[in-house]
Amino acid sequence: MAVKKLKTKMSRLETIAELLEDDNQEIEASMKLFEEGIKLINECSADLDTLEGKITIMVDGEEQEFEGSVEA
Amino acid sequence: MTNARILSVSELNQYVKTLLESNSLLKNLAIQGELSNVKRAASGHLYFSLKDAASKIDCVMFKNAAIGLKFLPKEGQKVTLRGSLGVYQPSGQYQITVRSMEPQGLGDLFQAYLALKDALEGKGYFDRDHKKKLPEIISRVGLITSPTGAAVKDMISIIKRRNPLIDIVIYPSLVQGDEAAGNIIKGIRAFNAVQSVDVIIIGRGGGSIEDLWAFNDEYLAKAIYESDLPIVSAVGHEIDYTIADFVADLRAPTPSGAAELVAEETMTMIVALVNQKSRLIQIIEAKIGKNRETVLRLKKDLLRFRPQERIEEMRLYLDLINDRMIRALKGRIKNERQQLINVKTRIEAMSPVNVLKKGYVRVTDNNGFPIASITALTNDQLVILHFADGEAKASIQSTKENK
Repeated sequence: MAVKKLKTKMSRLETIAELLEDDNQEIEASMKLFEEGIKLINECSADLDTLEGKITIMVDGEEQEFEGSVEA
Repeated sequence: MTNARILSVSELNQYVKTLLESNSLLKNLAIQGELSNVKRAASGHLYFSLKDAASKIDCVMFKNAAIGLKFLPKEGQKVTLRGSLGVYQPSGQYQITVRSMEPQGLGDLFQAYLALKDALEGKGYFDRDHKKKLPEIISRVGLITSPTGAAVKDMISIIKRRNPLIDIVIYPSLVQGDEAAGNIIKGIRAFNAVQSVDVIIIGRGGGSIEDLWAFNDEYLAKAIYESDLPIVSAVGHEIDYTIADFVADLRAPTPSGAAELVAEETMTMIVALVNQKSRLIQIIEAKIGKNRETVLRLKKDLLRFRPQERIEEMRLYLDLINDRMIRALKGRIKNERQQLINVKTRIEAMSPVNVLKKGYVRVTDNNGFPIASITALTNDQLVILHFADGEAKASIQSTKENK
């Protein structure tokens, strides 16, 4: 579910950008959002480098680890 | 006959040509035999010989006729063809110009296939409106395929290369023979029962029409039609369409092609992140600029009211806030800017054009579709080599797959 996890963060990022674009917002609140946004971006970049999806095989309706050899 | 007129070679060939080509029997031939020496020319014409135990004859099937073929002619295949006998004058050779060709022995199966196709089309199984779109976010992919074949390896390695974050769930299944259709149906139902994946790929490598027969099963068609999860068919043959291909929500010409359809490249996410970062920095910079103006205006207002000590106090306070904010942000922004530049440089280094400049080429077929696997190539196939500074057409002499 690594992709979903990442996409959730990215959609929060979109919300942050939209909130920031609101002119009526206090500078303190904007600063907080900016910090949160940058933190999220850096987290996402790290996720892209480190997260890895699982490969499983269905046996009798259960997912088990796939042991076939696959070179990427 | 000593007075016989002396003919030129051209006259003789012309005479034979006229004689043969005006014969009504030879104009409408139906012949059976075995294919040999099958060659597909870059022009799209198909050249081959038809032979039996003792003789052979050259045949040509021009592009406009070859397009209508419902199968891929193969060495040794028994066929029935229809056409006319013609003489190629420059060399004095006679050959058959083929209008149509059918594999022998498949007649009944073909009839059954066509009947089923018509019936299902009538039921609305192939309707565009019924086809499901691929979800925007694909996090988990279900593969219904043989767990030991080349197809599963290809699909896994392509998905992983494009997006290592995607989870892959394999439903092991037979993909040819009497039990294959039943197996695949169970796989479709299993994934639908637990909704554990975002999309299903049904895949197998290429094969003869007989090999692919499991994919022309009425119950399999029904299972695909009724699936809540979107299904991509990748029954590896670019030319033959199986019933499964028609019912599926999306058809890929090969398993590799299906893998490319479902796996969003992580590169697009990296680009999106970089863009978001630029956007955030821009917004905050604009805000700081505006805020500064407000501070200056407030200062002016205060000075007008002249309660001296208060003013000094306030001014100090405002300066303090302003300085602190600007200092905090400038360092931060500078830092993020630099990071942004670093990432952009990295992306540029990865762009295909730069890779091409290093001496790699990108290979596509005649229609511009990328060729990512040696299995997508056949001898004499026309391909286009894309260099950084131009293109070259080439045809394949021979292929060898890495084992």
